[in-house]
Amino acid sequence: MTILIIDDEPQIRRVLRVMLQAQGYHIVEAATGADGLVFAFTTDPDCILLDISLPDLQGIDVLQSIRRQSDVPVIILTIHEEEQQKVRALDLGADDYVTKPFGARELMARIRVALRHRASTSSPAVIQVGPVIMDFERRLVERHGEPVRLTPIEYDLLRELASNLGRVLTHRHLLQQVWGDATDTTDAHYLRIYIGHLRKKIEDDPARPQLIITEPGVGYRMTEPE
Amino acid sequence: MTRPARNPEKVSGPLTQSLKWRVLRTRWRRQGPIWSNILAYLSVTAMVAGLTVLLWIPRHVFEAVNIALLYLLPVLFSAVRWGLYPAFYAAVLGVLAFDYFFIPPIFSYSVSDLRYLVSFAVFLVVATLTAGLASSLQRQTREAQRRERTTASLYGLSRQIAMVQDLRDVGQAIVRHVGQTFGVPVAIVLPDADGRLVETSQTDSPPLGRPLNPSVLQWVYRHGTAVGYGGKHRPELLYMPLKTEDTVHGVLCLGEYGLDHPFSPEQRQIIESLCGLAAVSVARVTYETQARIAALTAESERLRTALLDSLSHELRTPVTAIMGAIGSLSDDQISLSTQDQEELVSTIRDSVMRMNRLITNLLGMVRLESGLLRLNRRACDVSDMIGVVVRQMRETIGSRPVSIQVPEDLPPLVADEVLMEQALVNILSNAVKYSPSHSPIHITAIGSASSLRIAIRDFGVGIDPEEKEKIFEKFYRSAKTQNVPGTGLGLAICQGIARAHGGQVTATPGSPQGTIFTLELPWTPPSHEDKAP
Repeated sequence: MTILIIDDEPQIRRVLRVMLQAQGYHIVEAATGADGLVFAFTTDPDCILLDISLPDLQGIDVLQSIRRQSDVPVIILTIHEEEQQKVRALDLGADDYVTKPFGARELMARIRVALRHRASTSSPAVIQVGPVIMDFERRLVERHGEPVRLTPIEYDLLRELASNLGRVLTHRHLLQQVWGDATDTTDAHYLRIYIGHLRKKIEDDPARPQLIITEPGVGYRMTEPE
Repeated sequence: MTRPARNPEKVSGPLTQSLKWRVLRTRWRRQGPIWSNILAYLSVTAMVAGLTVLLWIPRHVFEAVNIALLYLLPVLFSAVRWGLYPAFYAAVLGVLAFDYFFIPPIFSYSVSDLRYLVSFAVFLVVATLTAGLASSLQRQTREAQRRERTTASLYGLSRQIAMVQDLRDVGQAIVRHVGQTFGVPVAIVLPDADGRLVETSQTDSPPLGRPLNPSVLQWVYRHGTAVGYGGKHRPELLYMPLKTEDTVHGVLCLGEYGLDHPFSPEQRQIIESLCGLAAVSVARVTYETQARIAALTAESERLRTALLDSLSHELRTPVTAIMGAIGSLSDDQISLSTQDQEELVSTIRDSVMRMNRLITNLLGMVRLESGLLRLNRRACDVSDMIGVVVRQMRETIGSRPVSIQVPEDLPPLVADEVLMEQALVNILSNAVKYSPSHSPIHITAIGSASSLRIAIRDFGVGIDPEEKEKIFEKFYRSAKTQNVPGTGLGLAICQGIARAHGGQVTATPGSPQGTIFTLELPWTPPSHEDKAP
């Protein structure tokens, strides 16, 4: 497994290299966007960690250039204040993001999810997340062994979230997948309402959700409970 | 400094005692006071002559005493019209005419009956007294009228500049008022911050005929002495210092040289009074401005000191801890148990998190204050927002039981979700920091028709009523929590975020203990704020 790191800060690259090599990954490093693009097409990485603020090219441009030729998983490294940038990168085809400063555990989880999604393009028919078991072949959802009644929209929403387990999904992505052509961002409010309904049905404590996590300003992510 | 005045001269009057006049380019004029005096004496002569002719015709009907009384009329008239000396002249002329034409022997100054000499004396005494009384009465009337005009003019100016705060506006008001009062071009010249004289304001109509003379300006400003161009006692162009006590605050220039419109002594007195008032106003505004700047400087000085103290302490402490921990971990000489190693690693993690919190807050403060903050307003779910905050804070909250009460039917809040969460994180971490572990924290949301209130209640050290405003000030730390590390930034940022959304954060003491922080926000932002960044 090869991971390409595109970041201009040597300290960050060093920490990432040590962290990832310890997990058995092979590492390729690039300090600039131009180098990164060259390595992205010559070393055939399995995953790319891309710093969104690079000195030469904009990280967004690098991402677009990569996406024109490859669907390799790209995880964006960003800073806290840049929600719009995160959404833009995700809409342009980034798989996920981590916010600097990030912990090793969080980064590893993101990389694992990204690699898993690349390996299997079709999601499994039965998915279990915590106490919830979803059988998408039989359209059944159970929580603690009890069947859960869902409306068609709630079901579609849950299915989209579950089949992208661990990945962040933007508001726009969910609206497009569940409502079809509804792309108006004002519909985000409907999304909130349906997420609320869904949480009431599958979360143990809807006020403190463990399964459907809100990524403020970006979207939602379904995760295994801690 | 050379004197630009060729004929320095002192003029003193009721209002000019402290002021020396310097007259430039003195010249004598045909139409002076002398000319008008000559006119007065000629008129008196004509009047007495006319009266004599009138009395000559019916001279046999009148007694000599009646004629003498009638000769008092020109004396009275002259006293009222021209003052004391023309009246004396009229009296003397009257006695001479009376003696010559009406006292036998006629057409001679010789007096046949010596009793007439007594009559002449009585006439002269009566005429002199009458003239003196009448002219002094008239002088008093003129003086009163002049005072009234001066007072009215001063009152008008003081009313115009009483409320003005800006030096430029004061200058404009003075120039406008003086210009209207005298109908002449007026300019005011005030020193700038570096003490250089710059023309601040001047009248448009009529405009200044020629540019002001900078060396005269400089001289007037430095010496505090008025300079006039034009005739002696009758200057046409004046450079007046605006002087209070011993400080000159600027120069007022008025009039125009060469147009033959001199200022009368009365006008000059009004001008001096106006200049006194203008000087006081300019001084007031100048001192007020200086006081404001001084207060601002002191405040920013205090903030800078607080920032430096806070930064050096809040950054050095975790850096010291990290360096110590790393030193121990990387030293081969020291053998650490697994437990010790874990302890050191968690010290490093805590220190780093503390530094990260500080950096986040500092950046937040900078963004709020620089005006770079751009609100990304969207409809947010209140319950979801609180859930995110509690989840983000789960390590900090630790073992404290947190109860969340949010009504199901709350409408969405139109706000910047990320900033709202930062505000709530700051309030919640404040609640955690100042309350004992295991003590509960209550989060309650209540909606009214117009606004949302999120209350976070802790059962910690509480807050003194007099501090409930101050804790939202930048870098303010309560005296009783000095032992708890912190920068005094978190709550200030909260307040900044709330205000940016048209809301506010308040703190109230909880009963029996603890503090309740309430974040109150309008459901939708005030419309005028939508355009604001």
